Amino acid sequence: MRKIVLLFVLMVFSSGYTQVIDTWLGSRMDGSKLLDNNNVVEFWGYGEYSPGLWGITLPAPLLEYQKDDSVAIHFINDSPEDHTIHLHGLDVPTDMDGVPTTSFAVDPDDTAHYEFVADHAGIFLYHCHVLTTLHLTMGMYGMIVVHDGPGQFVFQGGPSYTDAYNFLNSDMDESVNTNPLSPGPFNEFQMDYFMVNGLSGDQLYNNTNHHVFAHPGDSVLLRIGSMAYTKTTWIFPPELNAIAYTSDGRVLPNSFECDTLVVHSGERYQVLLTPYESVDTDIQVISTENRNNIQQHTNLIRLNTDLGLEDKKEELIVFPNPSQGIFEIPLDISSDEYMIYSLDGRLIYNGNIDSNLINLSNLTSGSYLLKVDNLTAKIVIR
Amino acid sequence: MRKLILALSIISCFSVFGNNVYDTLYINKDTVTIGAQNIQLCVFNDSSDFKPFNHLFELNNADTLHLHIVNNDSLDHSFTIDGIIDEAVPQLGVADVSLELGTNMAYRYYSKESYGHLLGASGIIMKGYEMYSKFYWNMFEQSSSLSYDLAALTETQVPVTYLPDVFTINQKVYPQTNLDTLGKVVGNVGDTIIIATVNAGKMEHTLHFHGYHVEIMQVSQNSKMLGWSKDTYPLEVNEVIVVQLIPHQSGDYPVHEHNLLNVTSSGVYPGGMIEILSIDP
Repeated sequence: MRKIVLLFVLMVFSSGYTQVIDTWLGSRMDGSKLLDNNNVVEFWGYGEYSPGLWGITLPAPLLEYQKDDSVAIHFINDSPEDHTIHLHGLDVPTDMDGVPTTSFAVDPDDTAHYEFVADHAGIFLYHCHVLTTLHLTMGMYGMIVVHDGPGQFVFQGGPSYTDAYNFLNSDMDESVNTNPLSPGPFNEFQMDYFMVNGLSGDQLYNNTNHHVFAHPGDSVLLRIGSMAYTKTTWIFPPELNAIAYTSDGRVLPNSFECDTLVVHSGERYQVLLTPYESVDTDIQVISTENRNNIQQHTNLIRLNTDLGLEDKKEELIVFPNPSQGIFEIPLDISSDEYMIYSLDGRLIYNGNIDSNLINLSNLTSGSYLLKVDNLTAKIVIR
Repeated sequence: MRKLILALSIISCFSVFGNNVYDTLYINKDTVTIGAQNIQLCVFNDSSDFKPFNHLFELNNADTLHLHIVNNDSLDHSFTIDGIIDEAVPQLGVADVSLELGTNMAYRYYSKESYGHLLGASGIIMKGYEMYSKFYWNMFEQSSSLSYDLAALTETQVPVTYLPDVFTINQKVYPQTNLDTLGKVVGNVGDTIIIATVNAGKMEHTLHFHGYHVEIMQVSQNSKMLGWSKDTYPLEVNEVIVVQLIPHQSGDYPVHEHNLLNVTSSGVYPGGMIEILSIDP
């Protein structure tokens, strides 16, 4: 009898070890995007869904999980056309695969649930697989990061990193996004606009949210994925000592130095940069048209070790993060007011700090930006 | 009796060390409709009758292939395997070649003339992997208008304005790829499945597997990928990559070019370069 009780306790205990992470995603077809050339185009996408005000972003929200998490993505299609979520690279069963012909499509104003276990760490993608050629260029894609346990390691047993940055390549045929209802023969799309994290040119280069900061001697991890139809080439200056460690959610048998890294559509890499001396340089990201192998566009990502020192002084650190909704604010914060923004910068919520605590348990699970005293922290609510 | 055993042993020994395989290849050219497009297609067939796909050779370990090649085209061609053989096959003429291919792997043979390989004359020789289920994806895309220019010799290279409208695997577009016994992967959970993928086209292609990661067993150009476990990998022009799939789950899973412009047929999605893996428990 004692053994049965013990077994029962063990079962309950072990089942408690499996985290079920709920993610709420909605899809809409009413996004509006200002391009670097000052043109405004329509985009379709995903956003972190909440019953009230919510919107879509380009790219879609970053989804972050821990290895072995059980994940439930609750999907609300708040749009006039079918959509799905394909979990690219996560090797999910057929019925969770997001391909209409082999699994199911989600009707307009309908909901669906995608469940999977994140049994491999690394970088993955998600995107709509309905009329895919069109829905991708319209913007329905995002990145998934599955962390490999506690600590900041590229993979368990692998090198550590001091900070990590996520970069998702994509492109669009501007004329299609301007007039998506008459897209023309899909094979004739000309991917004439190239983006990193949904930004291009000066939009990307001047946005400090997409700069890479590091102290000399730091190891910063770049998580790179591509939803671009074009081939993308990342050129890392030699002083960054770039080494690729994983691809497609798997540790490479042999890591390799990669001053130049070619990332094809659908591929993902994790690259560690270790600048040993102070540098102020740019990482080039070049898109190349596959049909004629001609380079089309170059985007630059700023990497600065000196700015990194200043930047890190301004960082807001809250605890615990992620949390269920209660966050502790550092004691030296003078303001008693805080604001919550979506990752694309929309104000969602504001309130007052109460005894160095903020309570956000009324918000849906997901990632947000917390601003206090002109300091910003990215927070995750689970 | 002892002599009989000795003779049987010698015969058995010879069969282990390989056979002489004799075959005839025909270089044929014709107009074919793929999807809704008419294109000029040049192929290596196993008979004088035009068939819209290239002949596949499967050789056992240490087999020697003796080929009699008949050129039914009115233009000179070649039978070429990079680094191994480059034999001219004159217009309306013949050539004979013998191939002792060393390593067990997939080889790409082709006609090096622009009106040859650029019109599709490119096939696969698979040597070894006898114990496993094997499938073949010969990736080839074409611009219907360019194909006529190449056939008429008014164009001899790929123009910078190249705009393909036909995207094929084994010269078939989805959903016809589902009916292709060479390419349609069927198997069971736990099987070891070998897939030889060749880019016979004029542009890079990138294959994405749903449901599975595959291990790269052979790679002809991007050698650092050897041994990698991938769900998405690029095929450079002319590249040969062999992957091993050991399914851990059952179901139907697409594999497709991840440049979605190439998952179209005559500009319509879905079509073009898609295969559906069907894995039983």
